[in-house]
Amino acid sequence: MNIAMKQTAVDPILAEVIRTRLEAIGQEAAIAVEQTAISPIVTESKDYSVVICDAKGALVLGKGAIEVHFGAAMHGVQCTLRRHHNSIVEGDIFIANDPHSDGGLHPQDVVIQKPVFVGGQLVAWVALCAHMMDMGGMVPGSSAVHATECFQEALRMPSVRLYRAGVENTEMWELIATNIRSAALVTMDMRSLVIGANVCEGKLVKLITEIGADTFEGVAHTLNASTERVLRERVSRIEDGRYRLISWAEYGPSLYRIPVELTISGDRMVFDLSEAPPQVPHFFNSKPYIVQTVIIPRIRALLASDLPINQSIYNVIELTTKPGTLVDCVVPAPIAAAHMDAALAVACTAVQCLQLAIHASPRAWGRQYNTGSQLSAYGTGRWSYVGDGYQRNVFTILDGALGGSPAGHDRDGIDMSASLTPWGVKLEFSDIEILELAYPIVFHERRIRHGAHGYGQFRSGAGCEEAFSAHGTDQLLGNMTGTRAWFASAGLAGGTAGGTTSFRVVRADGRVEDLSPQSTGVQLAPGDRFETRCATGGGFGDALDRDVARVADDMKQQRIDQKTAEQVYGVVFAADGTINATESDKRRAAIRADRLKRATPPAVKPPVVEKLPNVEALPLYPGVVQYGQYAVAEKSGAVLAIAPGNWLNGCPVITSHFSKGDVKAISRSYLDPRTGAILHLSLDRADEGVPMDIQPARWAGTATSVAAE
Amino acid sequence: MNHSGALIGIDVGGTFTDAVVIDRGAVFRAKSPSTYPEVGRGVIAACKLAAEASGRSLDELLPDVTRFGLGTTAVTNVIATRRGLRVGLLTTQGFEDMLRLARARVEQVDGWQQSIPSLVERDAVVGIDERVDRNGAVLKPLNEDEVLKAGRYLVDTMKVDSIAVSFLWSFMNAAHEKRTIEILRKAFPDLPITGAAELRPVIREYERTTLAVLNAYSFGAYTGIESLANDLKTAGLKVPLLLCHSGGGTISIEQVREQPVWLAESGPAAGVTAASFVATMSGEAKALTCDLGGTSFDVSHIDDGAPARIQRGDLMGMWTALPRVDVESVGAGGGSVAWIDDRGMLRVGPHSVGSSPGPACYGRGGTEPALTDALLLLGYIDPKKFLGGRMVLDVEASRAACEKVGRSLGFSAVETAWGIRQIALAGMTQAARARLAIHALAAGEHALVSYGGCGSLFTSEVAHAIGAPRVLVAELASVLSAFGAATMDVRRERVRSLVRLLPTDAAAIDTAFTELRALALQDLTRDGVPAASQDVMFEADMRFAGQRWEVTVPLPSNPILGDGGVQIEAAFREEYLRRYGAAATDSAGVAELVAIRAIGIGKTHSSNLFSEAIGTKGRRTVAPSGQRPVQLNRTGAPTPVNAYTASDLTPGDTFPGPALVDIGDTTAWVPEAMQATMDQNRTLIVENRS
Repeated sequence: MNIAMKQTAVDPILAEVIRTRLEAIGQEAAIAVEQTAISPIVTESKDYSVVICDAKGALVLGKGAIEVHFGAAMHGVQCTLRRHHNSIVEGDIFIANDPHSDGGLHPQDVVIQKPVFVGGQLVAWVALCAHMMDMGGMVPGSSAVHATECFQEALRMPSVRLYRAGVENTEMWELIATNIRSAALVTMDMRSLVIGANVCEGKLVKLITEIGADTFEGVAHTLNASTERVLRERVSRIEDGRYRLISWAEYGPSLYRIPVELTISGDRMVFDLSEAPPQVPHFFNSKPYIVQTVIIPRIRALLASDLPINQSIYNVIELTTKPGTLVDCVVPAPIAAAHMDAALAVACTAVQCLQLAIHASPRAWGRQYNTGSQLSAYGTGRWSYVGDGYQRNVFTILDGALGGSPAGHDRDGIDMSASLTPWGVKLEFSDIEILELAYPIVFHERRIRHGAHGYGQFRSGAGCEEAFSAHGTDQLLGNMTGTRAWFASAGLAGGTAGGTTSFRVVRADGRVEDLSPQSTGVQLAPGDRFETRCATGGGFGDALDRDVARVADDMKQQRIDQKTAEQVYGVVFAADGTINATESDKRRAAIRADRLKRATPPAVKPPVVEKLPNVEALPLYPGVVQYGQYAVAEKSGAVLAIAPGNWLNGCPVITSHFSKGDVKAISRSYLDPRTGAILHLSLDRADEGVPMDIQPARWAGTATSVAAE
Repeated sequence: MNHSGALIGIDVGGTFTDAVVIDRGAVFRAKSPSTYPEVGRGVIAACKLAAEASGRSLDELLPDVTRFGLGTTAVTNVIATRRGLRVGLLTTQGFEDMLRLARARVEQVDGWQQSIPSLVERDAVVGIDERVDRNGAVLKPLNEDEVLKAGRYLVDTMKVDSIAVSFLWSFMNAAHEKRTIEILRKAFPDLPITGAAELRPVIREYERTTLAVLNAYSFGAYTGIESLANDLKTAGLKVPLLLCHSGGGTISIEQVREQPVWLAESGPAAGVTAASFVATMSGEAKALTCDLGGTSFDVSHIDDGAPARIQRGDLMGMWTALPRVDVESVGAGGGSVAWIDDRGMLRVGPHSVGSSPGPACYGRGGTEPALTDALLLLGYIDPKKFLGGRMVLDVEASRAACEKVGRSLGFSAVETAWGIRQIALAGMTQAARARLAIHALAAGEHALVSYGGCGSLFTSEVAHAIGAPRVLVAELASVLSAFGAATMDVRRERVRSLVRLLPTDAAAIDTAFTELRALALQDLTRDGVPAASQDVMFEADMRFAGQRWEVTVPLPSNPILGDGGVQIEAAFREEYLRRYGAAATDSAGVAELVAIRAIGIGKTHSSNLFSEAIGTKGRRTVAPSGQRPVQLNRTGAPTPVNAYTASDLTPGDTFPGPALVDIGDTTAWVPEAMQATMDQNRTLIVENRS
């Protein structure tokens, strides 16, 4: 096999013209998939994507709603090249789904790959990914929450041929169809990816024949090199240092602690996940390429929203992991939610580390996008019922993936979105009528969840709340997956944590059963009501600083009731039901004073400083700034710590313990010693110390470096 | 001569009202300032001028008029500027948040995500205790007391001016919705009430509801037109005033009074409809239409002489089930700004200079180079002939703007301008390719009809790139929308959602055909279409069970009855195979009939207006009226290019590229490999050299 690779830069006008044509080609392939796929998960929720890679499998361009697929598609191509190097010929089409080997974010995602040949030379690749309704295994929908090995989860395919030199490999199709449920439907979805790959390949052949393989490679190189240059420049504007937070993966009430430490050193950005626990016999082990591909679209929104997505961003964002851990597992670890649960928690925490680093860097690009941690919560159900002819039909309700976003530093969060900035996924609801038409269910409600926001000067958005029953079948059988049922997403700068995910069944006779977010074999008879409530991100800033007009609007919008307004926001209502601003101010002042009375003294007594040095205030954390060697509460001027101490230790603290099931948690409000305002409100496992550590080098007084690759 | 009386078409624009009179085979046009809010004055003024141009006074002309069509952006403007009525919504209890949920769609603004704003305040949405299931069976009867209570609350407490009613599955069983409307109408006789299923009985509650809300929101937007209709009647007009709707047809004022939302996209619809008329006159049954606006390149297509239509889509930021001519806005427009991004790449758009300050060459203080500046600097636009000479352009300002942008890349001003044009051209080509892909159209069968702005400077190269045979540029381009209003057929749609797997019970399909036909004919009669000019066509929306989007399949005017949908399924499979190839359907997917639509057409009989008026003449090569230097290559000296003026050409005149042709208010570019011919309808045909 002859691979064409010549890397010379091309003229920027030519690069832009060809990029536009490549976009058109990707778009045409995406159109073909959407128009020919069957299942709503592809066509309505748009859980598919198209990528164009160069001859070596480096990403040139991606299209489709799910950017997190791009990395998996590239990985697939690169693995295919390694596995089949010498035998790849024109007209081959490969499929892979096994995250342990050649592809897929999880076994339900298949990666269809087709090499592009021009004049007998391999010049490019196209790869398409989509979520299949079922890939076999022990439960319908292939999300086996009780699987202990990957062998139980799904049919596992390394990269194998669906077509060989243009001829359909019917045996492979038969093997697949034999091993999966709803085979007619799933294979039609797979065929839609084949159609997309053919469309994409055909158009690419035409383009590359016209411009020449050298020019195509030159364009790919130019697009990557120019993007990487900008990305590296932006990373170098972030203050060198270490930025560390803890993420938590849940399995029922068991919590797995995964510290995430971001090191910025010059133009390098490294996320260290090596403290992750050993792999577990649960379905959410992951792989580094999957964690990376989940992180990247979120970081792109912060650091590179104006740049095209291509190989360069995968080069810039580095991960450190240890094989055999939860985020770098090996066979036989189950892996059905490799891109969810643990990977999602790590990704959101990684992004938050970066946001804190950016905030602490006055010259950094993207400082305006300062928000609480993106929401890593989701809760989805896969249901099945027996249709005509004993066939078990499977369907998925994705609505539980729609939580409310965290608040931003200058705005409230938005409803039905995990983030205030784009995060590489554009899920849409199906209409109730479409779901009821397709599946034997009837909905009772679908609304934005009342209450359960992260509160603060700015509040989070709301998640979805819905309920349905079986309708037209004797029994629905369901299994759930979900996160953030035990541990809410924390707020920022004193905002409160958000609401948690919950599933429950209200039986026809009125009994209520709370379900674990990892439940299988949930049976619904007609009259039983299945309820989903989605989590939300945290609030921003002390709730007592929320503008009373915004509190009034939250009530008008039916987000909160009067009791919440009084308790959380400290507002006082007049007899006519309107907010009395003067009385509210008085009450808020009284609450702040009371906080200081109740608080325990700081762990480390802050230094007494007569006069702060006359230097520029540099940001450390929203609401906390650095004057020379001192960390100071921005609003009050109270000194909290001397470098390199953690300023949290210089705050009076109000601690509250609570537990949900076996999970014992601790919440700490770190107060401004002068005003009683909450500077930071943490939520941790009870045995956890002070977990947030923000150490820009200029504060830590140390130069940081990362080992050269 | 087939004389069918005079036709008048009006386009009420933001600044000017255009009038077109087509009388005895000739077209006369006039412009007059638009008058708001009483648009009638501007319309009458423009009509008088056009009538006089035709040699008759308006009073003499009006009794002879057999078609008076008017396009207005009145409803469009109300929605675009969010200045509609205060709307209340009654919906099924449990689903009051439907509009706020907005299918979880968000918009992106400055790198942030934002919720889609709702036209209805949350506390003006009331849930009603009722429920119907997917089969139309009542699960919970309507609580009528609640309806009245909710109405009172909306009117007395929320002070709404207009109410929309939209229940789940009302398109399957509209009884609850109908009864609710009855109760509300009785209690509040003066309040406009919109029922979602009555407006458009189609599946998907979100877009059905947004359409009902948009309708409720737009009531009263067209008041100036009602008085105009009366004035015209008094002045002697014998036919009803017809309004251009979003679907590229016309409807009566009586229907618009209850259902103003149909007008929401009438402007683009009129443009594409007129373009289809231009194509038809020149014998092209299939075409892509290309309209280069200030901010975007708008593409649509014509099949069998009719503009493509869609059943749903985004309307000014809101997803809704408005059937309309399918126009996509993509890529760069004349005002799109060129800039260098952080990577050092030259980019064009999406930011636009708008009309103020406009491109640098307008001399209104703009310093950023717009696409128009690049075209001017390269020599494609004659600075003295822009907009027919109404505006003189400043070439040096364009040069300075292009130079400023190109400096960091080491490009000269001219090289930068050349790059801007190349990148804009690539964007337009992408838009055309996407259009072909989405609709599975063969490029070789589609001419390009070019209108608007300076689009004709690009379309010949777009045609060449995608493999389209020729480009049509009409001399009428500047008044195309008014022309469309004059020539548009009456077009009334009636739809029935059936949502069932085929084959099915024959009676249900047969009843749908029969009843829909009767309703469509009734609509046409009400719109003043004589029985002899009435025609009904059918379409079916089809998909494989489980798919999201339907494929629209045309059916015969006299469908075979009694076969339970066998014929419909066959037509669907054939269409599907044509679009996606054999690989798309390996398993025997089950065909699902989603809806049947009847389209009532009242023919304008305008298509034979011209053919006898101007005979076809043989081609003869003509000499240019002059030469203009154009920068064809990236570097080096400009090339002298022959220049022609369309008004000097007579039908049959032909000449080879490279050439520039000033035609109407715009200029067309004929590349070297192509030639241009003026045809008998004064449309310039640009095609590969024979």
